[in-house]
Amino acid sequence: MGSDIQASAKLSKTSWVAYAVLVGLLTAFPLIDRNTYHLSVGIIIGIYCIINLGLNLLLGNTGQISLGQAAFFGIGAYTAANLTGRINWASWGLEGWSFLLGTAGGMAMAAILGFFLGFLAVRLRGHYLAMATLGFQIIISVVMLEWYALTGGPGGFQVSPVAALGPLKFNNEMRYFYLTWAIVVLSLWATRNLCMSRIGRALYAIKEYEQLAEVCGVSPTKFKLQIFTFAAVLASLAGSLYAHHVISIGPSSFAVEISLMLLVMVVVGGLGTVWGTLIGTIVLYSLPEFIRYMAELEYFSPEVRRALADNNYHLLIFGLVLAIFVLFFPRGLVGLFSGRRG
Amino acid sequence: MFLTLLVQLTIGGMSIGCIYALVALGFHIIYKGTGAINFAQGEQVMLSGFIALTFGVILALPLPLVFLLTLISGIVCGWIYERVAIRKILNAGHLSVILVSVAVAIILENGGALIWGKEEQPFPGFSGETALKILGAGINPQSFWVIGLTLIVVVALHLFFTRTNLGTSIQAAASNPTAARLVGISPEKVVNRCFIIASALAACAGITGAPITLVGGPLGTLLALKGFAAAVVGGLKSSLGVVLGGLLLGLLEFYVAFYISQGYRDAISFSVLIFALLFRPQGLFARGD
Repeated sequence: MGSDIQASAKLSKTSWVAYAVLVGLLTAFPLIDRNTYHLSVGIIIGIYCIINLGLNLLLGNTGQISLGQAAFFGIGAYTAANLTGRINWASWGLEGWSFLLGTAGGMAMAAILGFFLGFLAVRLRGHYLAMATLGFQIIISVVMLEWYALTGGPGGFQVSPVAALGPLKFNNEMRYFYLTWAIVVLSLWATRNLCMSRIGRALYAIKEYEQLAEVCGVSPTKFKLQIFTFAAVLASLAGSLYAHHVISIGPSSFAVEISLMLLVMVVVGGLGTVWGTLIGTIVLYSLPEFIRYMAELEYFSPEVRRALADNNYHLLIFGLVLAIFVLFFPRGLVGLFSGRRG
Repeated sequence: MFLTLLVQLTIGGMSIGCIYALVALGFHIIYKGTGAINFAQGEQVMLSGFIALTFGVILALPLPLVFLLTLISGIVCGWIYERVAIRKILNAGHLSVILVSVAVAIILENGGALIWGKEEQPFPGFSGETALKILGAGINPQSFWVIGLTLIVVVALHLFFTRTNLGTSIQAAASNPTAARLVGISPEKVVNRCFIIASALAACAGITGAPITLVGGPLGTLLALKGFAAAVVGGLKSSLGVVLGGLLLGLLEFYVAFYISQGYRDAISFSVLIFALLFRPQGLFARGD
């Protein structure tokens, strides 16, 4: 445990370098690679990074599991899409700000439901919480499929106006890439500061020994509620970005499989580390893309290519990777790189 | 007319409820032996369905042999699962057990889809497909197989836990692990046997339920969740409670689907789960602790 704290102190000295490298790479990427598909993959990775930063705060820093983060992702996406598309913002003189207001609306909605889920977390622990959050995920999935008026049912929902902040329009992949990753870096900075602050130490105390933390005046109830709400709000923010990026949203993008995928990304990256979250998300999201790329190579026979394209090999690999990391490398990829194993 | 409807909905609800009860019993036994929840319980049912499909439809073996082979495969799978994945991390905390069983669930679901296909597949009923006429209601004859098997399983489990050496040692290890170890009961063995029994239950549910639930598709996750909902509603610590919980959930689903909405059926089941967790976490049929 001592080494943990030392390690995080060491990391904080190098973190300015890490931020600078990250921002440099992110600025350079769209300038060097102008392929819109690659940029689009980069945007989706950024969006998942935002959700995972919140999820890791829950799972890694507070020890609270959530198998329902994709539900908040969906709540953010559908709420923002409904608010931007259905309300006549122009009549209020706010046509440039619909994206911002829709996103804020989605975040408020997610905050309310996240608070409700946090309320469950206060009363339930371990397995019960995992099942309750999974149940929440299924309920929201059913609502997305059935509530045609708001979600368009299985066919999905068309998100109408392009994302804009006042006069600034994010109407091409490159601009949207910068917008998304600016939000990722901001979220990263915010969650990292949160982890290093009094709140971060309180969360660590709750995770390690809840009763002791309570005796020392750290209220688990208060902090669990705050973190569940915060994680839900981040997922909702990501949902709004997703909705305005892919334009047509459907229930399958927010299904239980996505919740599980997010969980795998966070565990494989490394629990309780913000940089691990980034690495895990990038590596695991690249996997299905890599399989898709292989399916297009002339090198393989048509049968192999068809098999690669038709099957969900990546989900099977996600399951295997999750099992291997939990059993053998509980510190995740970050733990592997820093040479320390669980 | 009303009576016909009543019979139709009640027997339909009871047969699906019995499948939930079998899954819930799997949760109950592993919880009793290890204090853990096996998230892969539903996927194990699905896997047994696929195995039964292979022996029964593809190889066209006679039914009793198919049942026996599926049961044996289930037992072997349970043994492997415990030895390879669970034993190493059982003491590492609840989060690790949750993550590993979620991983196994993902592997079984997607591995199964890869081998046997993504679509739901039909499985022939044990005694044909012709509906039985009872008071004007058409009843799937498989319902009686499921209900009968569940009764046998409940009685057999009760006898096992009260009359056999292994059963009583599992009870002992569950109520006081230290004392059980002192009298020579190996905790590893108890955990292993619990996983084997739960897998055997999954095999029973997988093959007997297959003609009703179909095989494959999204079955695994939904069964795991509904089985768990049944177990929680009934009381995870009581074997009779989880069976009653399963029946209650099955009946609720059939009546909700008929009188309220087919589409929202699952949402209503899981709302029951969340409210049960919030207001009566020890279960309807168990005493509080």
